[in-house]
Amino acid sequence: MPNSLWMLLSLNFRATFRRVILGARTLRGILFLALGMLVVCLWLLPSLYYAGRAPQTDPRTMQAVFPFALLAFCLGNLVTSFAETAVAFTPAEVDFLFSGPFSRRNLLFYKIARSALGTLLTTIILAIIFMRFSVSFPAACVGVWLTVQFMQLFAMAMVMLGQSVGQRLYGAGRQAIALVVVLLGVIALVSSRGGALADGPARLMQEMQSTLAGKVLLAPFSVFARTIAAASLAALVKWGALALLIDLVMLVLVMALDANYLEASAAASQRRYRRLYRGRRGTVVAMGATAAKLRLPSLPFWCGIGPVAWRQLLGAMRSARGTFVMMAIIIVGFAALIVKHQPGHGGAVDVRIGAAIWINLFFVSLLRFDFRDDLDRLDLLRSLPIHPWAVVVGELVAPVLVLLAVQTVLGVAALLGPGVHWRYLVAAGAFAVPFNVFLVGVENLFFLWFPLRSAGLIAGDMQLFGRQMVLGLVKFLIFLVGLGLSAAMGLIAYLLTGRSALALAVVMLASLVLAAISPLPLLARTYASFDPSIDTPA
Amino acid sequence: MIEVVDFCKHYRATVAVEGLSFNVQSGQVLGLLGPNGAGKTTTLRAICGVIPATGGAIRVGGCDVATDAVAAKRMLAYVPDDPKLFDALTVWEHLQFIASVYRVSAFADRATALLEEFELAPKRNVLAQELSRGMRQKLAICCAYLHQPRAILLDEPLTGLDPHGIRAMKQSVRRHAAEGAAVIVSSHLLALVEDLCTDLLILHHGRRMFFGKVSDARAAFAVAGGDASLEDLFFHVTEGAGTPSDQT
Repeated sequence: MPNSLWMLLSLNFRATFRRVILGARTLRGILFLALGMLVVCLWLLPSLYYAGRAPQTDPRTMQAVFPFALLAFCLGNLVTSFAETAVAFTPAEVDFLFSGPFSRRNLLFYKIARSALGTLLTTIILAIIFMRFSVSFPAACVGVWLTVQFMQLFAMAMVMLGQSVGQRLYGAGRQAIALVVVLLGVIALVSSRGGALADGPARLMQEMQSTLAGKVLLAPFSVFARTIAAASLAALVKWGALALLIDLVMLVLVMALDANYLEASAAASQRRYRRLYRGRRGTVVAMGATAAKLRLPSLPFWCGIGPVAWRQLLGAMRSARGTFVMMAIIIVGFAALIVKHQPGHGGAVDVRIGAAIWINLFFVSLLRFDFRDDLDRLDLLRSLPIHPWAVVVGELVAPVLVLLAVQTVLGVAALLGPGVHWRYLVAAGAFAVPFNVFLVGVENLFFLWFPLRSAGLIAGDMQLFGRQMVLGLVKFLIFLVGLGLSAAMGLIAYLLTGRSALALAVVMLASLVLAAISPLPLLARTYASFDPSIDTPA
Repeated sequence: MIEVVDFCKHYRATVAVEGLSFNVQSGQVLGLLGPNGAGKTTTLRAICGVIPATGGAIRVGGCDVATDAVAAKRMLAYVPDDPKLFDALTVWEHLQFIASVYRVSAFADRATALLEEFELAPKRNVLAQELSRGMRQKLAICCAYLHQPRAILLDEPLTGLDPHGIRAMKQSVRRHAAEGAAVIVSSHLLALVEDLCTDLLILHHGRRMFFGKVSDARAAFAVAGGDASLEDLFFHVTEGAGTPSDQT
């Protein structure tokens, strides 16, 4: 690889540290950095505890499960176009390196080297997590790092293969390979002892691995599992060397194929950064051409609220696929909670209430049909002849309504479980709109105070991580105070009126409405004074 | 129509624009020139109320942009150098949205004519995210013209346009000026400014170096016997040699 590419690698490496150091020049930066590191430490603490104190999980479990996980990854790469990200370069790399005096192999090697270096931090974190299944930390580090390299090289090899043999042949070939893999899997499943399923999935996987078909299918993957779980230095050297050999074979394969991947890579890079760009603006799902067929009649002007709300509602409608997917995942999780906490096992309704609050908080951070989606369009919004308060109200309409729809679905799902009467849901429905306005209003207020692109987070950016933690905590406290005050006011009314449930509900609702509209003037003021030339993050 | 009085914009210690005053009357096309970082885009964004001024006053059609923003903005149209469109909306829906914002009733005929003029009619039902750079620029221009603004601010308007688009753009600027709009065109393309503009404002390091008729600029700086090109004049002014003999 030419020296200039090594230099670029070292400059990129230095840039990562420079970013952290520059961010820690202020007291706020140092605090956020410390907090971010603290949170990561707290996150890794249970793994360290289990590794040090608790009885270690049987490494055989890892040896049984891990090869299947790797197989699933490879199969996923085979049947989807996910592998193309392995040869995706950054836009700057495409512009500067593709047209530069470098051979395709130079660039491939640069990409592999960059990935190998870039995964060092991930390796350490994963190794700490894997310590529960590993006898020694160095073995976990070596095993995880070699596994990550294998995954990267395998994905690259898939792209190279596709480019070498032509897309049609590759498409047919990968279908055939996937079919063979599935067949071998079925044979291994059938050959394994039938009773193993009753002993749990790990036991079944162990049994499948012991069959001939399982051995053929999983042999290369179990090498990595055995490296991570190596019990002695000799075992680590033996299995590590084998894993390294597999990686080197993959590397040689990638270099040997050396197909003219640049065009595919440039296209993949473009697609990847288009996705990132959408992510920067908070759009979860790309809209296909069919999305344009979904229509929504214009809303009345309503002092300018109508057009702004119409635009966001249309966007919400057209990216509804992503919303539905998220909703389905959440509902499945919610249903699992309901099943797990049946009445009689203690606190089923409490768990559902807690889960509902967390789901709302989680969902409101994902719904971005408001200012969070308009960061790059604030110039246009601010140049429109609409009062700031009207823009603010218009921006909040779509997320409030989408959240209401999600709550309705969750409410119906909750009704299916025991212990929830429809009257509770009707009562909750009356509070839903002010509650949503409150949630979305506070979320947007904090966004305009501390704007951040969702894809602005990069690996190792502890300051940003710490900042997000602090903001999340403050927002949560504000939600608690708002809801707590409403509940307290309702309770006072309840006690003063001789325990009238109606008074409780009316005062609570009125207090919640007040809490909901209280951030709006501040939000309008913040929007009006927002200076895109200063406040918009890079 | 557009009146800028002692406008300043500071970013902490950095002075982007300092003490800038000028005005653009109806029918005038003002060329805003200056090297990178001169303060051109900052000035345009402040006029249309996107960024607040640190000092001074900006009025559009007599309405102060700071205190009567909505009334001022109703008369304005701004096309930024890199227009950010709404990816979820189709070409037609952008026009529908703008018509709704500016209360343009029965906008369909005008919108259709604009799409025809800028060769966007076949893309009418295409999502903005599927448009090329040039088409996005054309759509932003169509949106700007839809409500027949009395003041038009164009920041590098030819970026990404094909020859047809460039011609349509130039013709539309001339037509709107002839119909009484005040137009400001910020561009690094000196030929465009020379071709299109009646007046000239040259900025350097956030300060006004010249403001007046294009023809007066040569006399003001007395370059090469008065028949120098705009390019000669630009370099003369921005490379330190220029001290205006008469700033209007």
